[in-house]
Amino acid sequence: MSVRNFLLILAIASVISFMMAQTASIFAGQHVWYNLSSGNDVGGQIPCEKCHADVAEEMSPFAPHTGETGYGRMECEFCHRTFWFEEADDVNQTIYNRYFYTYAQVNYESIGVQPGKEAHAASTIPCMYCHSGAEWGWYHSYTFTSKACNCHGTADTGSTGDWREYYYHGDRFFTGCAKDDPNCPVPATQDVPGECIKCHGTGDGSTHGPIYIPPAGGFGLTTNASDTGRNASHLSFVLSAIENEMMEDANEACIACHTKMRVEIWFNVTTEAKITVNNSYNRSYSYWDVEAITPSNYTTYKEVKGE
Amino acid sequence: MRQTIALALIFVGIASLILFTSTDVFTLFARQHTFVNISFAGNDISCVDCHHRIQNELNNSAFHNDLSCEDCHRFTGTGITFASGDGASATPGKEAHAAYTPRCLDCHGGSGTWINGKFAPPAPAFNETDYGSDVSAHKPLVKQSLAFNLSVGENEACLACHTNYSINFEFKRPRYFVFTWNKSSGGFTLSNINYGDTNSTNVLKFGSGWKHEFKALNQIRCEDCHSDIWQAANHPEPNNNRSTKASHVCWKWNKGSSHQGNDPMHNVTYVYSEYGIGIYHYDNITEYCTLSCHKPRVNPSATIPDVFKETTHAAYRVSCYHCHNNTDYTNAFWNKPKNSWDTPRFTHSGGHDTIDDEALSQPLFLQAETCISCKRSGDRWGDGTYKTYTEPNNTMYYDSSQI
Repeated sequence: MSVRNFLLILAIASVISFMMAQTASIFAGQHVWYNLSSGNDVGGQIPCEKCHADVAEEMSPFAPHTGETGYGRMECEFCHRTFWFEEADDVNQTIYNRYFYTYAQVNYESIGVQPGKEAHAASTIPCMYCHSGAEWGWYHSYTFTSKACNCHGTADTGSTGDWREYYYHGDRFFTGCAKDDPNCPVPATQDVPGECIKCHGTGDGSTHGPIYIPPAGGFGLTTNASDTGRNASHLSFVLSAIENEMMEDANEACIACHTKMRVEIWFNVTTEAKITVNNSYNRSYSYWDVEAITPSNYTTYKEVKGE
Repeated sequence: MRQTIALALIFVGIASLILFTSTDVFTLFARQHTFVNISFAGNDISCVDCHHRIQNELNNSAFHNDLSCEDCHRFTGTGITFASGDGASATPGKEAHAAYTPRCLDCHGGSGTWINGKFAPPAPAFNETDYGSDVSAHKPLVKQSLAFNLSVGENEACLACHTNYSINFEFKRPRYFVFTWNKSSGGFTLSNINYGDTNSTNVLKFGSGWKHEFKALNQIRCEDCHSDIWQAANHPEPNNNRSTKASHVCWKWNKGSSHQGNDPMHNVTYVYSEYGIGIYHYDNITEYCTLSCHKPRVNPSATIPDVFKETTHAAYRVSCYHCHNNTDYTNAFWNKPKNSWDTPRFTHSGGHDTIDDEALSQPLFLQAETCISCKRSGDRWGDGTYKTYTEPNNTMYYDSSQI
């Protein structure tokens, strides 16, 4: 290599080195922080979908939790961050109060910051946490179409006329703000929609409702006094699922039937009964007395759902 | 060596690249967030997805194969509220969520039920108050099934006969009876009645074991559950009355008559082809058991025994004396082998006097033994002590001599 070429390469390298002031980061974006106080979606400022895109994709078909009220898919945190029920019979508190966790939370404009306790961002919760109430069906008149539920927001603790505190379910879900509410940021022009309607609709008829989350009645787990579950075929399945620790509460049973997850079921069934009868008698009468009917001769077979 | 190092470096490089570019977290249970839309009319969650086997059973079933799972397991006639997501609203379940296990009598009780355009007929006698008359032979099984938890309600009894579910019966009876007939001017009396110890007999009604395989009615055979009785009735031992086959029943009343004589109604040999199929016969053992005794065809215009005025399900609980007593039941029963209406013979008038009343006052299982043993000993018409063994044994003794 000639001296001239060497000097040329050295000059180009020096220019590149001089021009390249930044150091390339191995993990791009790792210093771009999410603003936790930027929106009303408490607990939802961080997009779960970034890591759980497959789950989001699973929830895209029209089905429960994906927009049946007409206002879009429920947010991840609706289900994965439990919340307070103001009305005692909206959840079977005897069973499910223990799932009421304190999560890390930053409210809009940092009005209220709360460190997590039992969980930070999310937890898995029982389906029955939301589906163990007593009431179902419609509540509002069929003409109610507002997407803002601020009547409930002001009823919540800490609501003193500041629309930014219009939250329900224990300061969790933004209720929205109606255009005729003078506390709203844009009064008299348009409603600020709340999050309530994704679960509850507006109750305005057969398309946007019903208000109440349907209880999974028929297993004796809801707060409805008529829910005995005494005839339920799958009761033992549900009760066994509660005992099983693979998932929370009865979720194994709920998910087995209500989702398209593949399920392998091993049935152990009796194919024979032993019936013992005794021809009992006295001095004038004899009759067949059934002493015992017991199962015997079990066999096991496999069923696979979702194939 | 150099090649191995190169491969290792390439592997580490590719693995690092995958790790670096992979940002998704995979769900442990795929599709657990893909919920089934239950807002359509009817049941949107397929029962068969988890219960293929039962569908296969029903495909081989003589009954109910034209019904859906929901027809039976979400039957609304009981007042049970099932969960439903039909439409935009929803109905929570109360007594059951998705399904319940029905009692057979939910549909087959009362006056029967229309289900999805099909009629479920009532189960005679068992659809009545307290399961009908006590002369219904299987009433104890149905009624007492309520006390057991193998299935709901009385279903154990229904399944035992009407499905291919296997049943292993253990029948317990006194091993034998001992009794003495005493003859006096006032008639006959029974005395010195004693019972043997309890003897157990096992009978296996074998089937595929599947409870959703319902049998056609002509596939329900008495001898499947009562082979011990058939064994006692159909035995080859000769006896003093020259009957070659007669224990549980006596079909030969007259010493001098032939086996194709005037009394074919109880003749066990009439289920065998060698004794005259085409002329005198029952089609099978079950037909013999029912038509010849336990559910005979009765003449509606004739005087018939009181027991046959009752409604029963499969069989009547009767002994010889219910028909063969001092009442004249002229042309009361259809005698199939003779293909004509027939009258029970030997009404025990005259010399028999009170013999039927005396026998009928005894426990049912003893009644027929007094009749059969007397016939087998040769119609002795006098005092004597008998010892008769119970099913499946058919041995009998008269005054210590085997008969």
